[in-house]
Amino acid sequence: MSDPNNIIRLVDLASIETQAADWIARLDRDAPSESDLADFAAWKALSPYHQQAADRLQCLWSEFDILAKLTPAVQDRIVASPKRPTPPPPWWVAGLVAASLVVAGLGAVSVLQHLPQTQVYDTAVGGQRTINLEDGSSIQLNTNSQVEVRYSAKARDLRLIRGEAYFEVAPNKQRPFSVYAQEGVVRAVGTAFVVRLTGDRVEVTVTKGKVELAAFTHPTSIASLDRVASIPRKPLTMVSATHGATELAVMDQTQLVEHLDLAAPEVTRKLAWRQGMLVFNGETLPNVVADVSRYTDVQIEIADPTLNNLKVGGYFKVGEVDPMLEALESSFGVRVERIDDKHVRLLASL
Amino acid sequence: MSLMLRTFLENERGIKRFLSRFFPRAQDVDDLAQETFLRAFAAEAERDVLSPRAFLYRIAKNLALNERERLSHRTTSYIEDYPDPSVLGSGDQVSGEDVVEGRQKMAIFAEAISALPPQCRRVFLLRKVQGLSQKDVAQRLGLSVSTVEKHLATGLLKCSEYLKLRGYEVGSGSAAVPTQPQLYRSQGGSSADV
Repeated sequence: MSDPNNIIRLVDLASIETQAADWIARLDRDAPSESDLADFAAWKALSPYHQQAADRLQCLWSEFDILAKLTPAVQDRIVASPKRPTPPPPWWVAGLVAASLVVAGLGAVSVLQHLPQTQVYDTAVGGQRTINLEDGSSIQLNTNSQVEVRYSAKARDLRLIRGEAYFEVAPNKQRPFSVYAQEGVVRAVGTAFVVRLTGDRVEVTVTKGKVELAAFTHPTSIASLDRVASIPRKPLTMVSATHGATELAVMDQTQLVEHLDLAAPEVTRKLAWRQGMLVFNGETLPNVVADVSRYTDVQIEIADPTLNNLKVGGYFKVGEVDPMLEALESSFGVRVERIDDKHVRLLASL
Repeated sequence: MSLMLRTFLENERGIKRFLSRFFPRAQDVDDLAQETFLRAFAAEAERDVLSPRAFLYRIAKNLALNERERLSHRTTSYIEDYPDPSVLGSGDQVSGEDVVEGRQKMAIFAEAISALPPQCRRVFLLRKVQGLSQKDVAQRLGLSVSTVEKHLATGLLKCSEYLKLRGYEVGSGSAAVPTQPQLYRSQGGSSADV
Protein backbone atom coordinates (compact mmCIF):
# COMPACT_ATOMS: atom_id res chain seq x y z
CA MET A 1 0.00 0.00 0.00
CA SER A 2 1.42 3.35 -0.95
CA ASP A 3 1.68 5.91 1.77
CA PRO A 4 -1.78 7.41 2.22
CA ASN A 5 -0.36 10.27 4.25
CA ASN A 6 1.26 11.71 1.19
CA ILE A 7 -2.02 11.84 -0.65
CA ILE A 8 -3.76 13.57 2.17
CA ARG A 9 -0.94 16.06 2.44
CA LEU A 10 -1.01 16.92 -1.23
CA VAL A 11 -4.71 17.57 -1.12
CA ASP A 12 -4.43 19.56 2.05
CA LEU A 13 -1.57 21.88 1.18
CA ALA A 14 -3.72 24.30 -0.82
CA SER A 15 -6.37 24.48 1.85
CA ILE A 16 -3.71 24.93 4.52
CA GLU A 17 -2.43 27.96 2.60
CA THR A 18 -5.95 29.35 2.33
CA GLN A 19 -6.55 28.88 6.02
CA ALA A 20 -3.21 30.49 6.85
CA ALA A 21 -4.13 33.53 4.77
CA ASP A 22 -7.49 33.70 6.55
CA TRP A 23 -5.74 33.63 9.89
CA ILE A 24 -3.32 36.37 8.99
CA ALA A 25 -6.11 38.63 7.75
CA ARG A 26 -8.10 37.89 10.91
CA LEU A 27 -5.18 38.75 13.18
CA ASP A 28 -4.56 41.92 11.20
CA ARG A 29 -7.74 43.36 12.68
CA ASP A 30 -7.30 46.23 15.08
CA ALA A 31 -7.33 44.13 18.20
CA PRO A 32 -7.18 40.40 17.68
CA SER A 33 -8.82 38.69 20.60
CA GLU A 34 -6.75 36.48 22.84
CA SER A 35 -8.82 33.49 21.92
CA ASP A 36 -8.02 34.16 18.24
CA LEU A 37 -4.34 34.24 19.04
CA ALA A 38 -4.52 31.06 21.04
CA ASP A 39 -6.54 29.38 18.29
CA PHE A 40 -4.04 30.45 15.70
CA ALA A 41 -1.17 29.06 17.76
CA ALA A 42 -3.09 25.81 18.08
CA TRP A 43 -3.80 25.77 14.36
CA LYS A 44 -0.13 26.23 13.55
CA ALA A 45 0.79 23.44 15.92
CA LEU A 46 -1.29 20.97 13.88
CA SER A 47 1.63 20.11 11.63
CA PRO A 48 4.90 21.50 10.28
CA TYR A 49 2.99 22.30 7.07
CA HIS A 50 0.62 24.54 8.97
CA GLN A 51 3.53 26.20 10.70
CA GLN A 52 5.42 26.74 7.44
CA ALA A 53 2.44 28.12 5.57
CA ALA A 54 1.73 30.53 8.41
CA ASP A 55 5.36 31.63 8.67
CA ARG A 56 5.71 32.11 4.95
CA LEU A 57 2.53 34.10 4.45
CA GLN A 58 3.08 36.12 7.59
CA CYS A 59 6.51 36.99 6.32
CA LEU A 60 5.10 37.97 2.93
CA TRP A 61 2.35 39.96 4.61
CA SER A 62 4.88 42.09 6.44
CA GLU A 63 7.17 42.28 3.43
CA PHE A 64 4.36 44.09 1.63
CA ASP A 65 4.80 46.93 4.10
CA ILE A 66 7.78 48.00 2.01
CA LEU A 67 5.18 49.53 -0.34
CA ALA A 68 4.15 52.02 2.31
CA LYS A 69 7.39 53.81 1.49
CA LEU A 70 5.80 54.81 -1.80
CA THR A 71 3.21 57.11 -0.31
CA PRO A 72 4.43 60.37 1.18
CA ALA A 73 1.39 60.69 3.42
CA VAL A 74 2.15 57.44 5.14
CA GLN A 75 5.81 58.27 5.28
CA ASP A 76 5.02 61.41 7.23
CA ARG A 77 3.02 59.44 9.69
CA ILE A 78 5.86 57.01 10.22
CA VAL A 79 8.57 59.63 10.46
CA ALA A 80 7.36 60.85 13.79
CA SER A 81 9.51 63.73 14.87
CA PRO A 82 11.78 62.91 17.76
CA LYS A 83 10.29 63.50 21.18
CA ARG A 84 12.94 65.99 22.04
CA PRO A 85 13.82 68.17 19.10
CA THR A 86 17.60 68.25 19.35
CA PRO A 87 18.28 69.31 22.91
CA PRO A 88 21.75 70.79 23.11
CA PRO A 89 23.47 68.15 25.25
CA PRO A 90 26.61 68.99 27.20
CA TRP A 91 28.99 67.55 24.62
CA TRP A 92 27.55 69.85 22.03
CA VAL A 93 28.34 72.91 24.09
CA ALA A 94 31.82 71.54 24.72
CA GLY A 95 32.15 70.79 21.03
CA LEU A 96 31.09 74.30 20.18
CA VAL A 97 33.71 75.78 22.47
CA ALA A 98 36.35 73.45 21.08
CA ALA A 99 35.24 74.26 17.58
CA SER A 100 35.46 77.98 18.06
CA LEU A 101 38.96 77.52 19.42
CA VAL A 102 39.85 75.66 16.28
CA VAL A 103 38.34 78.39 14.18
CA ALA A 104 40.26 81.01 16.11
CA GLY A 105 43.44 79.00 15.70
CA LEU A 106 43.15 78.01 12.09
CA GLY A 107 41.08 80.74 10.63
CA ALA A 108 39.59 79.55 7.41
CA VAL A 109 38.14 76.19 8.47
CA SER A 110 34.39 76.44 8.75
CA VAL A 111 34.01 73.81 11.40
CA LEU A 112 30.86 75.30 12.83
CA GLN A 113 28.90 74.70 9.69
CA HIS A 114 29.73 71.03 9.77
CA LEU A 115 28.95 70.35 13.39
CA PRO A 116 26.78 67.26 13.15
CA GLN A 117 23.51 67.21 15.00
CA THR A 118 22.57 64.54 17.44
CA GLN A 119 19.05 63.23 17.72
CA VAL A 120 17.78 61.02 20.47
CA TYR A 121 14.85 58.68 19.93
CA ASP A 122 13.23 56.48 22.54
CA THR A 123 10.32 54.26 23.38
CA ALA A 124 8.54 53.66 26.68
CA VAL A 125 7.91 50.22 28.14
CA GLY A 126 5.55 48.45 25.75
CA GLY A 127 6.15 50.99 22.99
CA GLN A 128 7.63 50.46 19.56
CA ARG A 129 8.41 52.88 16.77
CA THR A 130 10.13 53.15 13.43
CA ILE A 131 12.41 56.04 12.60
CA ASN A 132 13.25 56.76 8.99
CA LEU A 133 16.57 58.50 8.68
CA GLU A 134 17.52 61.05 6.06
CA ASP A 135 19.81 58.67 4.16
CA GLY A 136 17.12 56.03 3.67
CA SER A 137 18.24 53.89 6.57
CA SER A 138 15.72 53.07 9.24
CA ILE A 139 15.65 52.10 12.87
CA GLN A 140 12.92 50.05 14.45
CA LEU A 141 12.98 50.50 18.20
CA ASN A 142 11.63 47.80 20.45
CA THR A 143 10.16 48.37 23.91
CA ASN A 144 11.97 50.54 26.44
CA SER A 145 14.80 51.47 24.11
CA GLN A 146 16.84 54.53 23.35
CA VAL A 147 19.13 55.32 20.48
CA GLU A 148 21.25 58.31 19.65
CA VAL A 149 21.95 59.25 16.04
CA ARG A 150 24.67 61.50 14.78
CA TYR A 151 25.17 61.92 11.06
CA SER A 152 28.09 63.81 9.61
CA ALA A 153 29.41 64.09 6.08
CA LYS A 154 31.86 61.24 6.60
CA ALA A 155 30.18 58.97 9.10
CA ARG A 156 26.89 57.70 10.40
CA ASP A 157 27.38 57.08 14.10
CA LEU A 158 24.66 55.68 16.29
CA ARG A 159 24.55 54.52 19.85
CA LEU A 160 22.14 52.07 21.38
CA ILE A 161 21.78 53.41 24.88
CA ARG A 162 19.31 50.82 26.07
CA GLY A 163 16.98 48.17 24.79
CA GLU A 164 16.85 46.67 21.33
CA ALA A 165 16.76 48.00 17.80
CA TYR A 166 16.64 46.71 14.26
CA PHE A 167 18.80 48.68 11.86
CA GLU A 168 18.24 48.60 8.15
CA VAL A 169 21.17 50.34 6.56
CA ALA A 170 21.11 52.18 3.25
CA PRO A 171 24.40 51.38 1.54
CA ASN A 172 26.98 54.13 1.30
CA LYS A 173 30.61 53.14 1.41
CA GLN A 174 31.69 56.72 1.89
CA ARG A 175 29.73 57.01 5.12
CA PRO A 176 30.20 53.94 7.29
CA PHE A 177 27.31 53.08 9.55
CA SER A 178 28.48 52.28 13.10
CA VAL A 179 26.34 51.31 16.02
CA TYR A 180 28.02 51.73 19.37
CA ALA A 181 26.75 49.63 22.23
CA GLN A 182 28.40 49.28 25.61
CA GLU A 183 32.06 48.67 24.87
CA GLY A 184 31.69 47.53 21.32
CA VAL A 185 30.82 48.71 17.91
CA VAL A 186 28.96 47.09 15.03
CA ARG A 187 30.07 48.41 11.70
CA ALA A 188 28.22 47.98 8.45
CA VAL A 189 27.94 49.45 5.00
CA GLY A 190 24.59 48.21 3.76
CA THR A 191 22.86 45.51 5.71
CA ALA A 192 20.22 44.77 8.32
CA PHE A 193 20.74 43.67 11.87
CA VAL A 194 19.38 43.76 15.39
CA VAL A 195 21.34 44.94 18.40
CA ARG A 196 20.09 44.19 21.87
CA LEU A 197 21.53 45.24 25.20
CA THR A 198 21.11 43.15 28.31
CA GLY A 199 23.28 44.21 31.20
CA ASP A 200 26.88 44.11 29.97
CA ARG A 201 25.99 41.91 27.06
CA VAL A 202 25.54 43.07 23.50
CA GLU A 203 23.71 40.69 21.23
CA VAL A 204 23.95 41.15 17.47
CA THR A 205 21.70 39.27 15.04
CA VAL A 206 22.40 39.82 11.37
CA THR A 207 19.53 39.20 8.96
CA LYS A 208 21.12 40.56 5.83
CA GLY A 209 24.65 41.32 4.64
CA LYS A 210 27.62 41.34 6.94
CA VAL A 211 28.83 43.40 9.87
CA GLU A 212 32.01 43.67 11.79
CA LEU A 213 31.87 43.40 15.54
CA ALA A 214 34.69 45.17 17.35
CA ALA A 215 35.43 45.88 21.01
CA PHE A 216 37.21 48.80 22.59
CA THR A 217 40.73 47.79 23.54
CA HIS A 218 40.38 49.37 26.95
CA PRO A 219 37.26 49.49 29.05
CA THR A 220 35.69 52.75 27.99
CA SER A 221 32.26 54.03 28.70
CA ILE A 222 31.06 56.52 26.18
CA ALA A 223 28.81 59.32 27.22
CA SER A 224 28.16 60.64 23.76
CA LEU A 225 29.00 59.99 20.15
CA ASP A 226 31.45 62.84 20.11
CA ARG A 227 34.86 61.52 19.14
CA VAL A 228 33.89 57.87 19.42
CA ALA A 229 35.65 57.20 16.15
CA SER A 230 39.02 57.78 17.78
CA ILE A 231 38.62 55.19 20.53
CA PRO A 232 41.02 52.32 19.83
CA ARG A 233 39.28 49.05 19.09
CA LYS A 234 40.06 45.51 18.10
CA PRO A 235 37.99 43.47 15.69
CA LEU A 236 36.27 40.48 17.32
CA THR A 237 34.46 38.76 14.49
CA MET A 238 32.46 39.14 11.33
CA VAL A 239 28.79 38.34 11.65
CA SER A 240 26.98 37.62 8.42
CA ALA A 241 23.77 36.44 6.89
CA THR A 242 24.60 34.42 3.83
CA HIS A 243 22.67 31.73 1.98
CA GLY A 244 19.58 32.43 4.01
CA ALA A 245 21.32 31.76 7.32
CA THR A 246 21.12 34.19 10.18
CA GLU A 247 24.02 34.55 12.58
CA LEU A 248 24.08 35.67 16.14
CA ALA A 249 27.07 36.97 18.05
CA VAL A 250 27.17 37.99 21.68
CA MET A 251 29.82 40.05 23.38
CA ASP A 252 30.13 40.48 27.09
CA GLN A 253 32.04 43.61 27.99
CA THR A 254 34.92 43.38 25.53
CA GLN A 255 34.89 39.61 24.98
CA LEU A 256 33.16 37.62 22.30
CA VAL A 257 31.24 34.93 24.18
CA GLU A 258 29.05 33.41 21.50
CA HIS A 259 28.90 33.20 17.72
CA LEU A 260 26.50 30.79 16.08
CA ASP A 261 24.03 30.09 13.31
CA LEU A 262 20.42 30.50 14.31
CA ALA A 263 17.87 27.89 13.31
CA ALA A 264 14.93 29.24 11.32
CA PRO A 265 12.29 28.97 14.09
CA GLU A 266 14.64 30.76 16.44
CA VAL A 267 15.11 33.56 13.92
CA THR A 268 11.33 33.97 13.59
CA ARG A 269 11.05 34.03 17.34
CA LYS A 270 13.82 36.55 17.84
CA LEU A 271 12.49 38.92 15.20
CA ALA A 272 8.76 38.56 15.87
CA TRP A 273 8.77 41.78 17.89
CA ARG A 274 9.24 43.66 14.64
CA GLN A 275 5.74 42.50 13.70
CA GLY A 276 4.51 43.45 17.14
CA MET A 277 4.39 39.85 18.31
CA LEU A 278 6.07 37.65 20.86
CA VAL A 279 6.57 34.04 19.86
CA PHE A 280 7.52 31.18 22.13
CA ASN A 281 8.44 27.68 21.01
CA GLY A 282 8.79 25.78 24.23
CA GLU A 283 10.86 28.21 26.28
CA THR A 284 10.73 27.69 30.03
CA LEU A 285 8.32 29.83 31.97
CA PRO A 286 11.01 31.99 33.63
CA ASN A 287 12.37 32.87 30.19
CA VAL A 288 8.92 33.62 28.88
CA VAL A 289 8.16 35.81 31.87
CA ALA A 290 11.45 37.64 31.45
CA ASP A 291 10.68 38.29 27.81
CA VAL A 292 7.11 39.42 28.43
CA SER A 293 8.27 41.67 31.26
CA ARG A 294 10.29 43.76 28.84
CA TYR A 295 7.00 45.03 27.44
CA THR A 296 5.04 45.81 30.57
CA ASP A 297 5.12 47.53 33.93
CA VAL A 298 3.30 44.63 35.45
CA GLN A 299 5.56 42.63 37.68
CA ILE A 300 5.13 38.90 37.17
CA GLU A 301 6.44 36.71 39.94
CA ILE A 302 6.77 32.94 39.67
CA ALA A 303 5.85 32.01 43.21
CA ASP A 304 6.03 28.27 42.73
CA PRO A 305 9.41 26.73 41.80
CA THR A 306 7.69 23.71 40.22
CA LEU A 307 6.66 26.08 37.43
CA ASN A 308 10.27 26.83 36.52
CA ASN A 309 10.46 23.84 34.20
CA LEU A 310 7.15 24.48 32.49
CA LYS A 311 7.68 24.83 28.75
CA VAL A 312 5.51 27.34 26.98
CA GLY A 313 4.64 27.77 23.32
CA GLY A 314 2.46 30.51 22.01
CA TYR A 315 1.98 33.68 20.12
CA PHE A 316 1.11 36.94 21.80
CA LYS A 317 0.77 40.54 20.83
CA VAL A 318 3.53 42.68 22.28
CA GLY A 319 2.43 44.47 25.44
CA GLU A 320 -0.67 42.41 26.01
CA VAL A 321 -0.08 40.63 29.27
CA ASP A 322 -3.60 39.53 30.07
CA PRO A 323 -4.04 37.21 27.09
CA MET A 324 -0.82 35.50 28.06
CA LEU A 325 -1.90 35.11 31.65
CA GLU A 326 -5.23 33.76 30.55
CA ALA A 327 -3.56 31.29 28.22
CA LEU A 328 -1.34 30.16 31.07
CA GLU A 329 -4.39 29.65 33.22
CA SER A 330 -6.49 27.86 30.66
CA SER A 331 -3.89 25.68 28.97
CA PHE A 332 -0.85 25.35 31.16
CA GLY A 333 -2.19 24.55 34.60
CA VAL A 334 -1.06 27.82 36.11
CA ARG A 335 -3.06 29.75 38.68
CA VAL A 336 -2.76 33.51 38.34
CA GLU A 337 -3.06 35.50 41.51
CA ARG A 338 -3.51 39.21 41.02
CA ILE A 339 -2.07 41.09 43.98
CA ASP A 340 -2.84 44.49 42.48
CA ASP A 341 -2.73 46.33 39.16
CA LYS A 342 1.00 46.03 38.84
CA HIS A 343 1.76 42.76 40.51
CA VAL A 344 0.86 39.21 39.54
CA ARG A 345 1.90 35.89 41.07
CA LEU A 346 1.96 32.61 39.24
CA LEU A 347 1.25 29.39 41.15
CA ALA A 348 0.74 25.80 40.14
CA SER A 349 -2.96 25.08 40.05
CA LEU A 350 -4.09 22.18 42.18
CA MET B 1 -4.96 43.82 -14.12
CA SER B 2 -5.08 47.43 -13.01
CA LEU B 3 -5.54 50.14 -15.59
CA MET B 4 -2.21 51.66 -14.61
CA LEU B 5 -0.22 48.46 -15.08
CA ARG B 6 -1.92 47.78 -18.39
CA THR B 7 -1.26 51.30 -19.59
CA PHE B 8 2.33 51.01 -18.47
CA LEU B 9 2.84 47.75 -20.31
CA GLU B 10 1.26 49.19 -23.43
CA ASN B 11 3.49 52.25 -23.29
CA GLU B 12 6.64 50.77 -21.83
CA ARG B 13 8.59 50.96 -25.07
CA GLY B 14 7.58 54.54 -25.72
CA ILE B 15 8.47 55.57 -22.17
CA LYS B 16 11.85 53.91 -22.46
CA ARG B 17 12.49 55.55 -25.81
CA PHE B 18 11.60 58.87 -24.22
CA LEU B 19 13.95 58.23 -21.28
CA SER B 20 16.78 57.13 -23.54
CA ARG B 21 16.88 60.65 -24.96
CA PHE B 22 18.18 61.74 -21.57
CA PHE B 23 20.29 58.75 -20.57
CA PRO B 24 22.54 56.69 -22.78
CA ARG B 25 22.89 53.73 -20.43
CA ALA B 26 20.20 51.08 -20.85
CA GLN B 27 20.44 50.31 -17.14
CA ASP B 28 19.50 53.88 -16.23
CA VAL B 29 16.60 53.79 -18.63
CA ASP B 30 15.32 50.51 -17.16
CA ASP B 31 15.67 51.78 -13.61
CA LEU B 32 13.82 54.99 -14.36
CA ALA B 33 11.08 53.15 -16.24
CA GLN B 34 10.60 50.91 -13.23
CA GLU B 35 10.55 53.95 -10.97
CA THR B 36 7.94 55.54 -13.23
CA PHE B 37 5.65 52.57 -12.78
CA LEU B 38 6.18 52.54 -9.02
CA ARG B 39 5.30 56.22 -8.68
CA ALA B 40 2.24 55.81 -10.85
CA PHE B 41 1.21 52.74 -8.88
CA ALA B 42 1.48 54.72 -5.63
CA ALA B 43 -0.51 57.59 -7.07
CA GLU B 44 -3.21 55.25 -8.27
CA ALA B 45 -3.45 53.87 -4.77
CA GLU B 46 -4.42 57.30 -3.53
CA ARG B 47 -6.76 58.56 -6.18
CA ASP B 48 -8.21 57.81 -9.57
CA VAL B 49 -5.96 58.84 -12.38
CA LEU B 50 -8.04 60.09 -15.28
CA SER B 51 -5.55 59.84 -18.07
CA PRO B 52 -2.98 57.25 -17.09
CA ARG B 53 -0.92 57.51 -20.26
CA ALA B 54 -0.30 61.25 -19.92
CA PHE B 55 0.28 60.71 -16.23
CA LEU B 56 2.98 58.10 -16.85
CA TYR B 57 4.80 60.35 -19.31
CA ARG B 58 4.62 63.26 -16.90
CA ILE B 59 6.20 61.16 -14.15
CA ALA B 60 8.88 59.88 -16.52
CA LYS B 61 9.71 63.41 -17.55
CA ASN B 62 9.96 64.68 -13.99
CA LEU B 63 12.14 61.76 -12.99
CA ALA B 64 14.40 62.28 -15.98
CA LEU B 65 14.83 65.98 -15.25
CA ASN B 66 15.52 65.37 -11.57
CA GLU B 67 17.99 62.64 -12.32
CA ARG B 68 19.83 64.77 -14.84
CA GLU B 69 19.97 67.60 -12.32
CA ARG B 70 21.34 65.23 -9.69
CA LEU B 71 23.99 63.84 -12.00
CA SER B 72 25.15 67.28 -13.02
CA HIS B 73 25.87 68.08 -9.38
CA ARG B 74 27.95 65.02 -8.89
CA THR B 75 31.60 65.92 -9.03
CA THR B 76 32.94 62.44 -9.65
CA SER B 77 31.16 59.76 -11.54
CA TYR B 78 30.45 56.51 -9.78
CA ILE B 79 32.17 57.57 -6.61
CA GLU B 80 30.24 54.81 -4.84
CA ASP B 81 32.13 52.24 -6.81
CA TYR B 82 35.48 53.39 -5.54
CA PRO B 83 36.84 50.64 -3.33
CA ASP B 84 37.91 51.85 0.07
CA PRO B 85 39.88 49.12 1.82
CA SER B 86 39.35 50.76 5.21
CA VAL B 87 35.63 50.26 4.87
CA LEU B 88 34.20 46.90 5.58
CA GLY B 89 32.71 44.72 2.90
CA SER B 90 33.70 46.90 0.00
CA GLY B 91 33.86 43.74 -2.07
CA ASP B 92 30.72 41.72 -2.06
CA GLN B 93 27.10 41.88 -1.19
CA VAL B 94 26.72 45.27 0.37
CA SER B 95 26.51 47.80 -2.39
CA GLY B 96 24.30 50.32 -4.08
CA GLU B 97 22.66 47.33 -5.68
CA ASP B 98 20.73 46.78 -2.47
CA VAL B 99 18.81 49.97 -3.09
CA VAL B 100 18.01 48.86 -6.61
CA GLU B 101 16.96 45.48 -5.28
CA GLY B 102 14.63 47.18 -2.84
CA ARG B 103 12.97 49.04 -5.70
CA GLN B 104 12.77 45.82 -7.69
CA LYS B 105 11.08 44.11 -4.81
CA MET B 106 8.62 46.96 -4.57
CA ALA B 107 7.99 46.74 -8.29
CA ILE B 108 7.25 43.03 -8.27
CA PHE B 109 4.97 43.46 -5.24
CA ALA B 110 3.22 46.35 -6.98
CA GLU B 111 2.78 44.17 -10.01
CA ALA B 112 1.31 41.36 -7.91
CA ILE B 113 -1.21 43.75 -6.38
CA SER B 114 -2.03 45.20 -9.77
CA ALA B 115 -3.01 41.72 -10.91
CA LEU B 116 -5.69 41.35 -8.21
CA PRO B 117 -9.42 41.70 -8.98
CA PRO B 118 -10.53 45.35 -8.65
CA GLN B 119 -12.25 45.42 -5.26
CA CYS B 120 -9.69 43.11 -3.69
CA ARG B 121 -6.95 45.35 -5.10
CA ARG B 122 -8.53 48.50 -3.66
CA VAL B 123 -8.71 46.93 -0.22
CA PHE B 124 -5.16 45.63 -0.41
CA LEU B 125 -3.83 49.00 -1.56
CA LEU B 126 -5.50 50.96 1.21
CA ARG B 127 -4.32 48.53 3.85
CA LYS B 128 -0.76 47.88 2.67
CA VAL B 129 0.26 50.93 0.66
CA GLN B 130 -1.74 53.62 2.43
CA GLY B 131 -1.37 51.90 5.76
CA LEU B 132 -5.02 52.28 6.81
CA SER B 133 -6.38 49.91 9.43
CA GLN B 134 -8.99 47.34 8.44
CA LYS B 135 -11.64 49.44 10.11
CA ASP B 136 -10.65 52.57 8.20
CA VAL B 137 -10.52 50.65 4.94
CA ALA B 138 -14.03 49.35 5.60
CA GLN B 139 -15.29 52.85 6.30
CA ARG B 140 -13.61 54.33 3.26
CA LEU B 141 -15.07 51.77 0.88
CA GLY B 142 -18.41 51.29 2.62
CA LEU B 143 -17.74 47.63 3.33
CA SER B 144 -18.02 45.57 6.46
CA VAL B 145 -14.82 44.75 8.31
CA SER B 146 -15.34 41.07 7.69
CA THR B 147 -15.53 41.70 3.93
CA VAL B 148 -12.31 43.69 4.13
CA GLU B 149 -10.75 40.82 6.02
CA LYS B 150 -11.85 38.35 3.35
CA HIS B 151 -10.44 40.52 0.56
CA LEU B 152 -7.13 40.77 2.39
CA ALA B 153 -6.93 37.01 2.85
CA THR B 154 -7.70 36.46 -0.83
CA GLY B 155 -5.26 39.17 -1.85
CA LEU B 156 -2.47 37.72 0.23
CA LEU B 157 -3.03 34.26 -1.17
CA LYS B 158 -3.19 35.45 -4.77
CA CYS B 159 -0.14 37.66 -4.38
CA SER B 160 1.72 34.72 -2.88
CA GLU B 161 0.81 32.55 -5.87
CA TYR B 162 1.72 35.30 -8.29
CA LEU B 163 5.11 35.78 -6.67
CA LYS B 164 5.74 32.03 -6.55
CA LEU B 165 5.21 31.88 -10.30
CA ARG B 166 7.74 34.65 -10.70
CA GLY B 167 10.31 32.75 -8.66
CA TYR B 168 10.19 35.14 -5.75
CA GLU B 169 11.00 33.35 -2.54
CA VAL B 170 9.21 34.72 0.47
CA GLY B 171 11.33 35.59 3.47
CA SER B 172 14.61 35.35 1.63
CA GLY B 173 15.17 39.09 1.79
CA SER B 174 15.65 40.32 -1.72
CA ALA B 175 18.06 37.63 -2.83
CA ALA B 176 15.60 35.77 -5.00
CA VAL B 177 14.29 38.82 -6.78
CA PRO B 178 15.27 38.53 -10.41
CA THR B 179 18.50 40.43 -10.88
CA GLN B 180 17.39 42.09 -14.08
CA PRO B 181 14.77 44.77 -13.58
CA GLN B 182 12.83 43.46 -16.56
CA LEU B 183 9.75 42.69 -14.59
CA TYR B 184 7.36 43.81 -17.22
CA ARG B 185 7.20 42.24 -20.60
CA SER B 186 5.95 44.54 -23.29
CA GLN B 187 2.61 43.76 -24.85
CA GLY B 188 1.68 41.10 -22.36
CA GLY B 189 4.34 38.61 -23.42
CA SER B 190 4.92 35.43 -21.51
CA SER B 191 5.90 35.93 -17.92
CA ALA B 192 7.58 32.57 -17.64
CA ASP B 193 10.91 33.90 -18.81
CA VAL B 194 11.09 36.72 -16.25
